[in-house]
Amino acid sequence: MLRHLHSIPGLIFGVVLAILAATGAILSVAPTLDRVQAPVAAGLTVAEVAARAEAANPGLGRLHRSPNGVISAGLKAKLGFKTVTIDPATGAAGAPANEGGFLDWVKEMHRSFFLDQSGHAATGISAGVMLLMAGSGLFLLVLSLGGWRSLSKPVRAPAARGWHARLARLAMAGLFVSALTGSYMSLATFGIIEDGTTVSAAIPDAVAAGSPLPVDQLSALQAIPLQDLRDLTFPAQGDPAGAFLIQTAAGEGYVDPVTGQMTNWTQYGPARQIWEFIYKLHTGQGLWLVGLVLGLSALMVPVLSVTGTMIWAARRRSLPRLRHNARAPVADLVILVGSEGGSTWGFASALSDELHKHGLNIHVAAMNDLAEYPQAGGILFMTATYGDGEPPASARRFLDKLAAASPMPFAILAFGDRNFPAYCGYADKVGSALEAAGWQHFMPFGRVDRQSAADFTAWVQTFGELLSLKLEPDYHASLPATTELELISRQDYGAQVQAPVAVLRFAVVKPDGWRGFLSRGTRFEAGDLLGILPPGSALPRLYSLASSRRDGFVEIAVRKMPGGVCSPWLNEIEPGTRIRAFIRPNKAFRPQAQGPVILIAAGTGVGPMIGFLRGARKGRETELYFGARDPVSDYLYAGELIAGLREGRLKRLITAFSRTRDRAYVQDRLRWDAAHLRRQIQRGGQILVCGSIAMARAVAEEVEDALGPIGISVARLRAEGRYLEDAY
Amino acid sequence: MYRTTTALALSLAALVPIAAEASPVKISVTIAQYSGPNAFLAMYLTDAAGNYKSTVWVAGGRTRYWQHLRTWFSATGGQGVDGITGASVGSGRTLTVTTDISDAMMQAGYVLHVDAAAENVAESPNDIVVPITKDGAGKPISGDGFVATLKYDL
Repeated sequence: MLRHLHSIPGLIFGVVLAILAATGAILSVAPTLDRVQAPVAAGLTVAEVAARAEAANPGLGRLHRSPNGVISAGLKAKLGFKTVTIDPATGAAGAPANEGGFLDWVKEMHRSFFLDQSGHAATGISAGVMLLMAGSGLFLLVLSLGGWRSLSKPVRAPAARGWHARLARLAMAGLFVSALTGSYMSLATFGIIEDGTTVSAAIPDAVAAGSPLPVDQLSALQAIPLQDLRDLTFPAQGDPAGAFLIQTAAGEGYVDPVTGQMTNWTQYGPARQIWEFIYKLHTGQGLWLVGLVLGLSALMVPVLSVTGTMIWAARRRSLPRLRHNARAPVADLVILVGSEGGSTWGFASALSDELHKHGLNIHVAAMNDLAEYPQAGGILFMTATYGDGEPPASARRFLDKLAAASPMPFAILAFGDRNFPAYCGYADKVGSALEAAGWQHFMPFGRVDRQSAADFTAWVQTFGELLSLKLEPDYHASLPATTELELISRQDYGAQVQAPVAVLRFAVVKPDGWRGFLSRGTRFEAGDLLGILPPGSALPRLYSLASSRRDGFVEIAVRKMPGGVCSPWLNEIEPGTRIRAFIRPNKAFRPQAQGPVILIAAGTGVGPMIGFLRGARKGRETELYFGARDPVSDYLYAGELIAGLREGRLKRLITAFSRTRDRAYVQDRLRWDAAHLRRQIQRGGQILVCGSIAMARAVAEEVEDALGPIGISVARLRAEGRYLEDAY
Repeated sequence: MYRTTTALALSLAALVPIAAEASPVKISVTIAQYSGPNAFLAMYLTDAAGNYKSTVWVAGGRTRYWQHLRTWFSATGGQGVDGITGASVGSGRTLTVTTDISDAMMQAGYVLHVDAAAENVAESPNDIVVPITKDGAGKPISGDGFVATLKYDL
């Protein structure tokens, strides 16, 4: 609902809002330009300046002072009128003002799209829509980050979604101010809000008899300092009953040209003062710095329009295309989906298609649409988690509906991101709620980390065994564009300890022409993932990168998994072989810039750690716990690690070998170093773990125990971004 | 507050001939070329002595700017008028309105005044002043302010 409230008006008004914001951003510079150009005019009165201007400019009709201090005069020309800036010291005319320049054009575009009254209405409505966009966007951002307190946390979302959220967060405050003040001004223009501008001094019926005084002898104008002036209108030529109309910030009145006295002075009320303040806030007139900040914020709107449309298009593309969806009453098995961005639907659709091939009637629906399924043998819940354990969009009403449903056998396949503290948090909640309602598991809880096709396939195969079916779901994640890589060197380890590992170094093959130029920009950092498609497989395998772009090569460490598809192939290719691969950024897995960093790795998990050390500054407090089998066989990167110690890029190196007399694992070293770990964590240290899932679990338990005495949990460190895992 | 819809309905009503002795007069006002936002105009009739009689048309519906059409606004007692309003008029544009002026008014020497103003450009009360006579019909009259030419046809 909230999402529709954001995306539908966004799509309809995207272009209009972008135009309003872009023109607003241009206008925001005007107060600063004015301020630079505005003459210094201390100690002058309106009477003095008016007299000088009148003497220097025949046909003077009005004198105006902008809130930034620029004085301009409206002159009667031979035909028509012109406006010029005035030097208050001499009264001489300077540059023509208001001569239909670029800024005037932009201003009229911003105010009414050159459509007069209906244009004013359109911009007013757009300001209201902008307010709605900012409000709904703020709530969406809070939801996705996991609460109001997390609002300043780093945004973990890919590409367009990430940039949309980051830029929106930066611009949010400014956009709120612009939209709110713009809406107010529009409502005031149409008289819906009382702004006090209809309060005006009564026009005097007549002026005193006699000959008019020179302007500089009008006592009422002598009493008004120039900086209080808003507007001074001279009596029309040939109008014997004409008086001067003087407007200041405080009020307005008429000055009798014969007596020089103020008549019908009318004080502006609070409504007018509020209007003045909001006008200044919106335009930056007299508040040039505010203007610049609002302008910068407005500049983000066109970008937000584009990225927002991209997000919407991506979500639409990923919406389910269910080919063989059975009706609920006749379904053999029901798949209920909890999805925010739509990717979980893709998995559900793949599984449904595969089961359909085996003759089963599958009904796929949103978790929100939970119903009665008289024929079904069970329900499979496939759900993602939104933010900090919140339900995704298609499951938001599920728990409310659950009470009324009759219990059935069920299974849960949860989708999440291991780097989040509440990994699959919502799926856990669903599991507990179902159990509490008396539902029975027909399969253990399954998890898919970061849309891993491998995790998904493994779970589906286990599920197939339960049904005595051989299931091979055809899941195609939408793959990013691939780049061609050429193997330039390989180093082999671990053959003697029955754990062959190859360190493979690739060069990016530069295509000809513009593609080559573009591919130079392929950015990657150590810790990002390299997706490789092995021959004859549609599922990419992901390997942690051991190098960054500045190293000039792409490096991974690959352990040969018996019976695998990709790793045996990679362990056999020779230099010169070309493969296709893509980079999947993993920005969450990066060492912090300040404070101690504790790297913990086992086996090929040392890859990204080596990458981090290659780019590290000397003297950084980085230490590495590294577990392998045997120093003579699978001590990966031994030479580089020693060099790192010597050059000061690595402060401590603690190794553990399991096939030596020691029979030690990294977790044993951590246990012995518990006091040191506590000290480093208390000093703001960060822990990065890379290795197998089993190793990562053992390390987490060990760290939990080590930190127990100081009352800090791994969960808390994860929430603070100080405990990062890359486990496979 | 003057809402556009009521304004339109009433202005249409004003265009319907109301009395047999009244002849419809078509007034065309062409605005000079100038730089700035659209001009507000008030067209109104006075008698030969300059006493305000009635408002023909107000171009520019935002009432808060009406005080800048100073002579007219003052003549209406600082109230303006309801009903006979339309959009403001841009540089170089022509505004044509039709009103009813009785033969008696013409014989009495009624005078058509136009007050004009544009934001940040100028206020021009009595921008052009034209007596309405049978002989003057169809002959364009030039102005030197916002109104470049004014013509009325009987």
